[in-house]
Amino acid sequence: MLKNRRASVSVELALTFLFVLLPLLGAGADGVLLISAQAQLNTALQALDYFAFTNPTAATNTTDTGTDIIGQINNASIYHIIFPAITSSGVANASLSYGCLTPGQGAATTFAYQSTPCAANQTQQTFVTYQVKTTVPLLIPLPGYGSSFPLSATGSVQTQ
Amino acid sequence: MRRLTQAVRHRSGAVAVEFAVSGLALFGFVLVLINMGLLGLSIGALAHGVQAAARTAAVQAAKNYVNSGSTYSCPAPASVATYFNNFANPPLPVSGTSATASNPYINAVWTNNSSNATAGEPPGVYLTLTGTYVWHPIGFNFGPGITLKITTLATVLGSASGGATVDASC
Repeated sequence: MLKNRRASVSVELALTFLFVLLPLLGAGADGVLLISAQAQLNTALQALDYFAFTNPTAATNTTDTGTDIIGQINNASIYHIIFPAITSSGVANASLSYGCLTPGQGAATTFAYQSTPCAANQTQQTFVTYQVKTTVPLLIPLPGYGSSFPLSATGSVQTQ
Repeated sequence: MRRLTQAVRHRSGAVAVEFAVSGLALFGFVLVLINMGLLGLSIGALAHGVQAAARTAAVQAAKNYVNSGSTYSCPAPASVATYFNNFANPPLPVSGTSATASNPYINAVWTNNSSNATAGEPPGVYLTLTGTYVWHPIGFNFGPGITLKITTLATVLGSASGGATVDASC
């Protein structure tokens, strides 16, 4: 009877490690990778936004500048960040958009937002939208994602 | 009666072993939860510290130009590490600029591309700042730790144009 109990304890120990501790450690390791990769993506996006905010003229040449900035960050980053030509929403990365206010319409009038520059008599706001992406190789494959997990960060900043 | 007592004694031993096994798993689970929280805090502090320190250094370089009236001068790496400490210490330890002795390690590299002559680089004077922190989970201090690394880039306002000079610190 004692031998039987010892055997069952060993089986319980094996099952506990197999179904509780190992998945927990694997998920924890994947979590570390994903959290740090997302933090790096957010930081890179903020670098792009700050550049556009402080250099609005250079930011009109946005695609090249974005590629340059991400290239410099990639030289030191653990994760390879991608600056895609087309964003997930189907528009060009680093595309400009505009808010237009027609004068003489009163204080209650709101800006009309469009993808083309405003008319000459309108007050214009200029926005630039960036998206950065990366793919994180996972230590333990996740159901539904396999061995890699895509991450992205998107943000807009007003430059004028 | 004696047999029954022996059986109960054996059973209670097995229960104790089972409790120890499941308790180990539970303890490990709680430890992982605590460490994941601390890890998130450390990554957040590192990312925020790197971003804020880079912006502070870039603004300081622009301020130096305003104060001098003609020359951009850039804060030294040790000053950038101090900026980082102002934003991230605590919860992170005091940072430094020694690649081997500092944890967190702050690597601040200024680049002067104000003539916009170097292809593949953004225009102007800019700082590439990398913060590296080797994080040790509670209860697992014996291993090499987990290396966290965040890199950002901050450009100095207005340095790409005009007749200003940029000194060697950049």
